[in-house]
Amino acid sequence: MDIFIPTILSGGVSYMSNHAHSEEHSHHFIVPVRYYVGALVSLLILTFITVFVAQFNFGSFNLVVAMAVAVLKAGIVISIFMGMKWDHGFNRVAFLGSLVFLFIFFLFVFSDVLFRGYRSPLEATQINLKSPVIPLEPGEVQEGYHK
Amino acid sequence: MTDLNAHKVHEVAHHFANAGHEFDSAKLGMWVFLVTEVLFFGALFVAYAFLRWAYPEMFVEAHHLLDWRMGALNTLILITSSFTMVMAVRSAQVNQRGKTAAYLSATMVCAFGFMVVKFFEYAAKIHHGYLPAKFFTAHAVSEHLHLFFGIYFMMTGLHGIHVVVGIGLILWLLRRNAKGHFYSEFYTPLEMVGLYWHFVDLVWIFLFPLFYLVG
Repeated sequence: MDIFIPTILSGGVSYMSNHAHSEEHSHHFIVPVRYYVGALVSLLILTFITVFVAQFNFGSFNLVVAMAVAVLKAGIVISIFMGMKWDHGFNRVAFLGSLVFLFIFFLFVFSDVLFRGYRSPLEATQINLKSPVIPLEPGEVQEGYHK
Repeated sequence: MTDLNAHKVHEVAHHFANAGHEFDSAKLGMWVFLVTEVLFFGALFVAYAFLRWAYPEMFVEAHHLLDWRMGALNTLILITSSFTMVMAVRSAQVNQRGKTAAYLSATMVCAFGFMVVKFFEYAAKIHHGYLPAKFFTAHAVSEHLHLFFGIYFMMTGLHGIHVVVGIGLILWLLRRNAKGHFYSEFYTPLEMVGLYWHFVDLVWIFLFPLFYLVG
């Protein structure tokens, strides 16, 4: 079923055009309920998958799976629930443009922190950090610990 | 006596050419607002990524102090509420005012449910002294654990504020719906609050795995 695949990146079909409106009324495309039910079911299944995978320790693979599932879920919410699949291309550009700027944000911050200490070891030093954390005694069980 | 099916005919504001122009303008404005929200939460996701990169072993310790069952329950609640929200909008599109009210009410029940779960989580953290910065009073292996609870309370707290704002907006929609303001030719406020609500769901979709699952 193709409805489970986020279409925001493949530039989905626009069912309503800006110029299609008559003089007096706007004729909006009414989305069939099966799209919404399909989105709900697939989001629930993906939630189950992400929780299930987290019960095992695959090292850094866990983060990759969790983020891949989260991006897929986000795609479904944006394209079906937020209706971007049927929305104007301009709205799509406006919203997805924010992700480009978010990427630039990450890029600039990490181009700094990843190379701390590269020019001088002092850059990578933390000085006079004070921590309120009380060291855990040997054998002491942390409060509110969950497996 | 009021006819339950009667609705108030929407008048297009004079600075718009027609109803379609008005709706499209509102929708573009809403998307642009959501762009600012992406960058608003984006800054906190950058902070999260930095802390996680700097103190990976601290995040493993911290992740055991959050109950993933609570997080998973809230994920299910928010996903369901997104569905009921979109059905509320659709019911207005097909002139089913009673169903719009029912779906909006269901969405609000979900929103309250989310906040109740959040309340129990926060209460436990506060009780154990797992608090940000200098308010942290608990015992821990990592001396940076207070940083985790700084970013945890900041991100989930701001998200929680968004949920509370959403509850207020849904109440406003219920009131206007009861007055018969929404019908197939006018449901702009429903559509816009819907977009906002789905965005709140969207943020939680990332918060849940990052805080509760990946350790």
